[in-house]
Amino acid sequence: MHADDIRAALDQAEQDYRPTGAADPTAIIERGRRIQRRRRTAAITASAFTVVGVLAASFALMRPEPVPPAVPGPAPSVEPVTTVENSPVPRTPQMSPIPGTTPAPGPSGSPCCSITVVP
Amino acid sequence: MRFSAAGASTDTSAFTACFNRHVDSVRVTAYLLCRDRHRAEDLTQAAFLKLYLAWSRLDEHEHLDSYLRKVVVREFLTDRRRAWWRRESGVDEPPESPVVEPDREDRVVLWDLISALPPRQRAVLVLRFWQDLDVNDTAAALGCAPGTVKSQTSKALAALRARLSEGRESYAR
Repeated sequence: MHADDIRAALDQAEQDYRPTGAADPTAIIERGRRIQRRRRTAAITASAFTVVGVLAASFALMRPEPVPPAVPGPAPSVEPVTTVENSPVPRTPQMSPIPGTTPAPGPSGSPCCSITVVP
Repeated sequence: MRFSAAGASTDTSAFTACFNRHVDSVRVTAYLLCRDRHRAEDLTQAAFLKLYLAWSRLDEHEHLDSYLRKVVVREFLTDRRRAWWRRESGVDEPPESPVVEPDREDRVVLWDLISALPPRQRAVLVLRFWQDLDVNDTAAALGCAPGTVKSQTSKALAALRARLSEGRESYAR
């Protein structure tokens, strides 16, 4: 068995071969275009679904936490209200005239405009 | 030469020219691999369809031969691995079978024996002895290691020798 024997057998088979000739470039091109269109559509659909999914996931993650319902706090304590009149802090003392001084009436009759000192 | 053409019509005409240039070689290679005329046409169409789909990505015009060869061989091997109920097979013989002359009988017998080999061994013989590829190119077409090509070649030749000697012994008896 030599390589030439195999070569001769394959050459003989090639000579005896009669192709059916069914392969047609136009049909192949048409089929190829259909496949390309299908792939393009699938890619666009997949991209759209991916974008929508990513957006939905980001919205779900970024949504603020729900505010819990208001809970009533502790009851306010009742304390006596301190008014100025009842306050223990003494009020400003009333000014008393200095002995030996007489408030001189002012031109308008106001006693606090000038002080006359009596020797 | 880059095939990414400006328009679809340029692509179509370039692809048609490429088809007309390579179809005979691809068709014969497919037939030698599968020994079925109709399946050879299917393999040829599948190879050129893959070429069309990859057309815009191909850079080198010189590599088209090897690309088509690789596609045909792998399509053949993949198709052989498919489930039997999904694979169509021709059951009829060609209407006009060649008349076997005495001097061609040995070659026809040897062709029958080659056709009976496992698909991978047959592919190795077709690539190495009909396409005259070296071990590395055969390995590239099959997608395996060069050592695998050598071992498959050795096994195929041993099987052919054994079957030929069996045939001669039975003929002598």
